[in-house]
Amino acid sequence: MSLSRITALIVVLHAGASAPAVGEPPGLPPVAVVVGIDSPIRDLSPDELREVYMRRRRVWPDGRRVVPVNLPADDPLRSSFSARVLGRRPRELVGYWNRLYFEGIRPPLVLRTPAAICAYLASEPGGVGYMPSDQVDESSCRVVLTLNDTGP
Amino acid sequence: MIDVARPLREPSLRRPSSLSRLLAVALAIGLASGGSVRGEDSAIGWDPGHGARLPGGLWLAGDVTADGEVLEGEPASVELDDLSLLARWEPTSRFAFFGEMRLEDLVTLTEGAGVETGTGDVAVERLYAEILLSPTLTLRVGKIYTPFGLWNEVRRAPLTWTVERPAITENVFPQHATGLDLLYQTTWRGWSFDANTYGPAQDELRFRRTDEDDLDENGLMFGGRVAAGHALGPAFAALGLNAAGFRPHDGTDWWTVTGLDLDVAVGGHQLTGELTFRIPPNGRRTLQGLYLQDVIPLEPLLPCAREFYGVLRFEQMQPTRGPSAVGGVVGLFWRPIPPLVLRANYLFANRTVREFEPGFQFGVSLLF
Repeated sequence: MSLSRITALIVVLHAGASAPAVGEPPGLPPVAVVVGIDSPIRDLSPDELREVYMRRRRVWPDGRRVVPVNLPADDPLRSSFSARVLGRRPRELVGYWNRLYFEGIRPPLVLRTPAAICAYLASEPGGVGYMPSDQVDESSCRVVLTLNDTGP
Repeated sequence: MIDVARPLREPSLRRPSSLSRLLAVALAIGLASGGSVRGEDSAIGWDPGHGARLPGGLWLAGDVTADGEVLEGEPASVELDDLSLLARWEPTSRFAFFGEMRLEDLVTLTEGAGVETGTGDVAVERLYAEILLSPTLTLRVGKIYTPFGLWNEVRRAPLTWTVERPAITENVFPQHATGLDLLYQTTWRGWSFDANTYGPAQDELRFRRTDEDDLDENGLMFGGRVAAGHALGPAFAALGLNAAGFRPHDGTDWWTVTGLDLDVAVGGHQLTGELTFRIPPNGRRTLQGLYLQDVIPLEPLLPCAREFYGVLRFEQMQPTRGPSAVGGVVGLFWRPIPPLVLRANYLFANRTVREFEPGFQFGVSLLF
């Protein structure tokens, strides 16, 4: 393969495949970061949230396991949350999760709906989830952080 | 072919590994550290491509890989290269065991030479106990992949982006460290920080050596890595600094290896790069090299293709002897379903050196 052909291929791949830059999808409501109603977790900072969702922090100070919960990869709120909190879209983290797979560490658990997340967190005191702020079930979930469009 | 990375050549006698003693200490520390007993895992079961979660906090996974290559000026070959088993056990929230065993060099089919059965070399790639001392501090005791740069901790199929790793990441420093590894991770005001220090030994822990070109990994080693990452507009960038010193067990002088690594995510691209220098005790015949790689999602081009990526990589290496080698890789990575990974790439170079051979390569991996 000649160098000129390779160069042409590189140009085509970059021109065709570049995804749009990170930006907030329009019209998404504020995001509520939630824990179970009986959870001992009182507050979380955006910095701590990044550690939790990157699985860099896997134990709470009291020794309880950290259990982050995600929405499905194709959910617009998941993509927005990932960009805002982790600084990267889900597809930009594929290599990162591949590396953690080789240590036996899995990405956060995925549940399909805010209702399912609240129901799960009610029985998992080390759990953390997120959802649109207007879909929080206050009988099973408690808000510990709210992320607005302009930041927490 | 020119040898670029074999500074330590004396055959060695195997020392009894101190790994079992280290693991016994780790077990005692872990049991003493307490922590809540792991509850019932809600995801127990087998998830093809992601391993099996079993009761009691046990995770088992494995993979098998076949590679083929049509290198310039050499006969084509296909090799059943790897059979690996991974296991992780988390008896408590603060404590885990991890092990990886690998059976390699199984069967090779070479054009004009037929089928050749390999040595079936068995290696304990990793075996360590992990203790979460605090939410930010992790201690590992045992044998790990040397945390130098980005590539060495993933290092092999099935989830590497290309069939072969960048030349400058192979056999330039001991790829396994044995002893203690202390890792600090935190995020502060949007900055992610990592600090990692390890030592005091290398340990190949291989039942028999089959590749005489590999570094002799039985000596002393100390090293560390610090890294910082932050969002830069639409990108997230992390820069790491690496340094390690190692001494073969039959030598008295220390080799040093230093490097930079870069990890940038922007617009769907995953850009990574490493720059590495290895300096021998006499300061002469320094080995240096770099790579810069971009992984590009191709779904915008082929919407029906799930987890389909293009890979572009530039490499440069200054061997210990002779002129520098420059080249690169153009490749494809496709994971159509979680248990199956397909890779194909073409490596071009201005000259052939060890681990840097122009030609076409492909790989098929099945994950259990």
